[in-house]
Amino acid sequence: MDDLTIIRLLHERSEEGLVHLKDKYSRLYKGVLNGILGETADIEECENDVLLAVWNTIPPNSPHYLSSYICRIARNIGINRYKSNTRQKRGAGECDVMLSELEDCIPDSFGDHMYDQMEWGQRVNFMLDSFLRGLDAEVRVLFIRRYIFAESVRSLSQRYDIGEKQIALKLFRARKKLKKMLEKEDIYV
Amino acid sequence: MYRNKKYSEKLLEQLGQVNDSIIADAYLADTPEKLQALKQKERCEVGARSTIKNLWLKAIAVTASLAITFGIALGIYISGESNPDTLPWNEDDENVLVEIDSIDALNYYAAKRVLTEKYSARSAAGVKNAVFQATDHSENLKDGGKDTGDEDTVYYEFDPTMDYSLTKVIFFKAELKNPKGFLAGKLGGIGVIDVVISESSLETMITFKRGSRYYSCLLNSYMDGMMEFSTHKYIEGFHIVKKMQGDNFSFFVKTVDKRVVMLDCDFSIVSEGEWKWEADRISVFEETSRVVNTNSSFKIWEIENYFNSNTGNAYVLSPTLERADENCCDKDRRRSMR
Repeated sequence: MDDLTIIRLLHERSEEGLVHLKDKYSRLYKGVLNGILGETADIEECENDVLLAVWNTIPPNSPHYLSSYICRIARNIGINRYKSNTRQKRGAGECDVMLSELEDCIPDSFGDHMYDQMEWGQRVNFMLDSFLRGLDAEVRVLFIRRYIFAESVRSLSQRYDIGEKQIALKLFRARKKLKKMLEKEDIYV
Repeated sequence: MYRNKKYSEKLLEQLGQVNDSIIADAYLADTPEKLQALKQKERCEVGARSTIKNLWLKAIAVTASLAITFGIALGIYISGESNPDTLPWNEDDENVLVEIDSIDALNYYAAKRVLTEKYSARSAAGVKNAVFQATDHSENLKDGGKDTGDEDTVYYEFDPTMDYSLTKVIFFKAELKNPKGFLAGKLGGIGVIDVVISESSLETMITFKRGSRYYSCLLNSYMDGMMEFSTHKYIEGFHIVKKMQGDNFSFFVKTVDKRVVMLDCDFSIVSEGEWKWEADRISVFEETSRVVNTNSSFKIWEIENYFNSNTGNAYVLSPTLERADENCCDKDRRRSMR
C-alpha cells in the first residue's frame, strides 16, 4: 500500500492504516530500535510506543516521507529509552559504540560564542544537511544508515557487500570531515 | 569524557532531524544495486547541471548575437518535464497483475510505462515538445455501430490489435473527499486516486483510477493552461462514446510550470433516479505531478508483458484480443451516464 493511502487512513482514524504501516515499516523501526537498544526486553514496548506516537501525530501531521518520519520517531523513542537505561546502568546495543565513534567529530577547541538551544539546533541542522549533501552518495547512505538507522558496521558490510574495514574507513573519514565543519562553524554544546 | 558523551549524544539526536528526503533516499537504497543506481543518478544530475549551465551560456551568446544582428525580440520556449526525477509511486507497490481490458486501462498503463521508462532512465529517446490541443482523432476510429436504442449516442470502436501512441503524458495523484461526488460514484468511493492525462493516437483524455475501477473522458477545450474534459465524450470498454445530449459535467485541470495545481469538478446538482451528483471536493497532490513529452507506441500485449515481467509476475499474458468484444468495462458506467 502506498504512503498516501496509509496517511489518508490514519487521517480517517482507521486502525487499518496502522496495520498497513506496521506491515510496511516494521522492519525499519524495529531495526532502528534494535540498533540503539540491542536485544532487550524494552524493544516490544518501544515498538508499541512508535505506533502510538504515529497514531497520535497523524493527524495533524501529513509527512511527505513516511519512512523518514517513522525513523525519526523510532530514533527519539530509542534514544530516550537508552538514556533512561544508562541512568539505570543497563546495557545498550550499538548506541554506546555510535556515541564513542561520534566523539571523533568533537572539535578540539571551542570558540567563545554561546548559542541558545534553538539557535544551536538550527545551526547544527543546517550544517548537517549541507554536510550530508556534500558527501558522495555511497558514503552518505553508509553514514545515515550507521548513525540514523543505527545499523552496525557488520550489517552494512553484509547489506552492501563491502568489507567491514572499508566501511569503517569511509565512516572515519566522514566523521573527520564533519569535525572540520563543526570547527569551522564554531558549533559546540 | 562526560562532556564528550553529552556532545555526541546531542549530535546523535540532531542527526535524526536532517532533511527527510536525505533519510528517505538512504532508506530506499537498501541493496548494492539500489545504492549503485543512486550513485549513478547523482552523477547524471551533476552532469546534467553542468550541461545545462553550458547550454545556457551558449544560448545567451547566440541570443545576444541574433538580437544584435536582426534587432528582434526572441521568444523563448522552454520545454521539459517537471522537476522531480523519481517515480511518483512506490515501485514496491506495483506487484499486481496487469490486464488491459478497456481503453481506460490501456491509457493508464501506457502512461505508466512511459513514466517508468523515463524515470528509470531506460529510455529517454524520442522526446519532443507537445502541447495539448482539443483535436479530434475520431477519423482513426471506426464507427462501432452499437445498437443503443439512443439516437444521439455514437460509438467509436478502438481496434485493440492496433498500436496505441502517446505524445504527452501527465500523471498525478489526487484525493476525492466527497462520497456523493460524481467521481466517487464512478470510482466506487473516495480516497486517493491516480490521474493520467494523455495526448494519444485516439484523443486527449483524462483517466481516473481508484483501485481496479476507472473513469475516462475526453478533452473538450484547452485555453491558457486550463484543460476542460467533458463527460459528453467518455470511454466504455474499447469504445469512445459521444453522447451530446443530456447532462454534461466538466473537469478542469490547470498546470503551472509543469505541475498540476488544480483539478476541479464543479457540477450542477443533477438528479438521476435516487442519485444526486454533487460537486466533487478534490485536492491535488502537486508534488506527485509528472509531465513527460514522449513519442511512444505500444501494443496492448507489450504493455501487459512489460509490467507483468517487471513486477515479478511470471505469468505472461497473451494478447487480449478476445477481450475486445467483451466490453469488460464497469457496467454501471453506462447505466449511470443515462
